[in-house]
Amino acid sequence: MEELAQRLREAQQSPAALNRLVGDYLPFVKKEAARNTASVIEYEDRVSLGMLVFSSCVHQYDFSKGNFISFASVCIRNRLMDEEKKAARQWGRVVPLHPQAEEEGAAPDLEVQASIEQYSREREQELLAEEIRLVREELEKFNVSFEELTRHSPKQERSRCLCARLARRVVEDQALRAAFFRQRCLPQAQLAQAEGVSVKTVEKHRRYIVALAVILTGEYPGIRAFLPQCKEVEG
Amino acid sequence: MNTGVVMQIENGRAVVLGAGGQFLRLKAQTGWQVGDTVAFKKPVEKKKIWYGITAVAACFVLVLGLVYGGAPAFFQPSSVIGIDINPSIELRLDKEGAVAEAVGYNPEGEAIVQQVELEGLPYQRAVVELLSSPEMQPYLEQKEYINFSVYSGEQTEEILEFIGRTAAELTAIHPQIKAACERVEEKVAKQARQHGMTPGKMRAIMELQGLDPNATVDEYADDELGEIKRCIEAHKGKGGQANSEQRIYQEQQPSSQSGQPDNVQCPQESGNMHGMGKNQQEPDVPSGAMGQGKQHGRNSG
Repeated sequence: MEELAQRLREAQQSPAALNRLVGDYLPFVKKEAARNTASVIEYEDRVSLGMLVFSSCVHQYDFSKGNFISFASVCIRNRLMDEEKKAARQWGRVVPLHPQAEEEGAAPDLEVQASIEQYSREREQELLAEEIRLVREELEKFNVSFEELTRHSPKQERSRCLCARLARRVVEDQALRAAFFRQRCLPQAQLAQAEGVSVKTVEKHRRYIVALAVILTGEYPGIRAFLPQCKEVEG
Repeated sequence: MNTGVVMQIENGRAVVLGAGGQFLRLKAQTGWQVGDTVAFKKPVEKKKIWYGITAVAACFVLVLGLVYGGAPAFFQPSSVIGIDINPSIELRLDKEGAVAEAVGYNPEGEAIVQQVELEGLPYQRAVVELLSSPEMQPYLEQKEYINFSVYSGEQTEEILEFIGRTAAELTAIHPQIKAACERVEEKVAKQARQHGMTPGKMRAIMELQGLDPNATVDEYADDELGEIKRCIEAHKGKGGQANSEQRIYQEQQPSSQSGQPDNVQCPQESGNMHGMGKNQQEPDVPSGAMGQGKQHGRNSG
């Protein structure tokens, strides 16, 4: 517990520490996302939302008010239920109104309830908007726009996972990373050779790999929650 | 149901990063703002719903065609005009040259054919309506290539002549665009339909396969035609030889000799097909219509 408290304090100060914490607690987030198997929202989407909420929880956690894991757990479940209802309203689907917590007879205690009240959706939106602004500015240096990415992001999950693996290689390999930021373009030949894929494949997904590498390099925990969650990526 | 974060909102369209890392272009819903996490349905789901209905309808039409039209008439391929600028659109014509169906082969193309009413129009009118629609203007102002591909059993020359004039007019208004027109064979048109792409893109991929035997249709199916052409040029630059049957433009006269603008490559069957003047055979299509995009869309009433 002391170790977690220390990590939480670091994560509140450092986006890099937050990234590591979110990565380490991904199994917990996945467990929370998997609770409602009858959800209208796909599992992968619930995991991404869960990671996003987890990041917000870290920022807003008050050490004087109980257990962080309980707080995060309730926040994630609460948020996922909200999204279920929102999706149902938007698309005309009927969703059971009784929350799963009630089914389990586990009403949140007052401390957790107080913490939930602190959880601010607006704050999350502001943080994400700021991350998006920074990512856009960074991508502009590589001549890549969000508009282009809608046309060049692979449709197949397998291809996106491959791109995530290539982007991670760029980030982790010092020589590739240095060339990437120095030349403001992807070192395609070196990357293809390092990962054992064809240069044509790298060229085909160049813009998408650049975007992933930029996001993975920077401190964007909110946006990272929406990147491909592949085994290769998680290592 | 999917969720994602809104990355950008412009002109009523939103770029959303979906869970799983796919960037999607969606119609912005009321209240969306950058940084919001939103629920949405992927556009492709809509297709899936229609697959079943389309299959049933296709069977029904097949039976009707065999009973009333006779098999030979039913299997007679219709005329097709493919337009690739990245919105990838195909106009399928009936025997009279009117648009029987307008098909978008990618999300941008689908969005445009849903907003611009083309069915029932003579092909000349439909092409002008399409290219002068407000929905097409952002692409015409930004893109480098536009490619017209034509397959027709009987009307190929007539259609190509019209397209040649239209292309010349288009490039006069948008000088950054390189326009090309091509006729395609029945085999290519059939393969294109099987793979869900325009005949022009199919032919370009076949040309690329002639230069790079490892290239597959699936690999390039999502790419813009301009990118495929760049790949072709890159392979030719490496000393590759194009399949002679698939080399389209090299057979044409140099543009300076043919009289076409430098950035238009279209086959010419008659002497005066590239001018900006009014086409005598198509009285419905006003000369210079391409320049009046903002007034030609549905918004103009």
